Amino acid sequence: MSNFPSVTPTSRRYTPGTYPQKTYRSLSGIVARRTYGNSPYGARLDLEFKNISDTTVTTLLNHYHAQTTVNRRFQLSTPITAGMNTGLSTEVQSLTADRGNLRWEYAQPPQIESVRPGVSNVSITLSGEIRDPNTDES
Amino acid sequence: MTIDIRIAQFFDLTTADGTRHCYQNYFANTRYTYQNFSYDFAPFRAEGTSSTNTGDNTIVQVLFPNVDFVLRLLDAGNGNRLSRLLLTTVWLTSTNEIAANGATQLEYLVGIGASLSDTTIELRFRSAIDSVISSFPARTIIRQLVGPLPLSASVSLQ
Repeated sequence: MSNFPSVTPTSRRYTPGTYPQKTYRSLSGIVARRTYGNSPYGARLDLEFKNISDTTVTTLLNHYHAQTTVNRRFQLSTPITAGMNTGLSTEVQSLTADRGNLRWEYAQPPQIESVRPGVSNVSITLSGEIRDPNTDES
Repeated sequence: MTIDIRIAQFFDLTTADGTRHCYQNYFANTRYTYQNFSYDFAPFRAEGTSSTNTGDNTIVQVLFPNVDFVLRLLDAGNGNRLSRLLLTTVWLTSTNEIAANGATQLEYLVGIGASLSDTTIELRFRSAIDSVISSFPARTIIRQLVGPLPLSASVSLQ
């Protein structure tokens, strides 16, 4: 397994990563902000897949198990950012150095809701972390 | 008004066989060249007292995640007892470049051991060069240095 399965989500919510900073406020009110690194981390992507077949659900679950059991982060597939323009898609993919060169992992196990026989809804939350060159997908 | 503080640390450890292990903790997954030497990225944190007025060589701790390359580093330094560390702290500009005003601090340290937990490895160091107040040079007083030692406790070095 590598990239996230090529399944187009029904809806998605993206939160960019935060920068490694701590803020100190002096008694005078002046704020000093200490920056610990040059890359944002911890981006978040909530995905909803509604009314998909159980075969597709199995594909998503297989990916969850395959990546999580070896602790290996992955890239997003193209359908995940379908409908976005190039700039926004690049932002969400977060592969450039100034966006942290992020790789994604499951923030929690996928949640499956059965709709009717053979059809389900799936909710997936991904977390984008700075790529570890030793273990994560290139 | 916000005061922007950006600090990078360069970790240059020489182990028992003379090998240098160089890491920096600011530029994620980047091999950064500093003073004509390449520093790989490692997420370490250094803290402790680097110098005191009494020259009592307090401890500096460098905290690493418990990962393979740090274990190799420990092994090469005989459990960090035969290592020398040059820890350089540099201040960066808002564009992440080294400040041109020379805001740089060097610490020369010697390894005194390490401790391990399930997630971290802590390397401990003492300063190799310390105060000139109470014990400079930092040597034990021996007969070759001060001549025949007196029986009383009053020794005057001038």
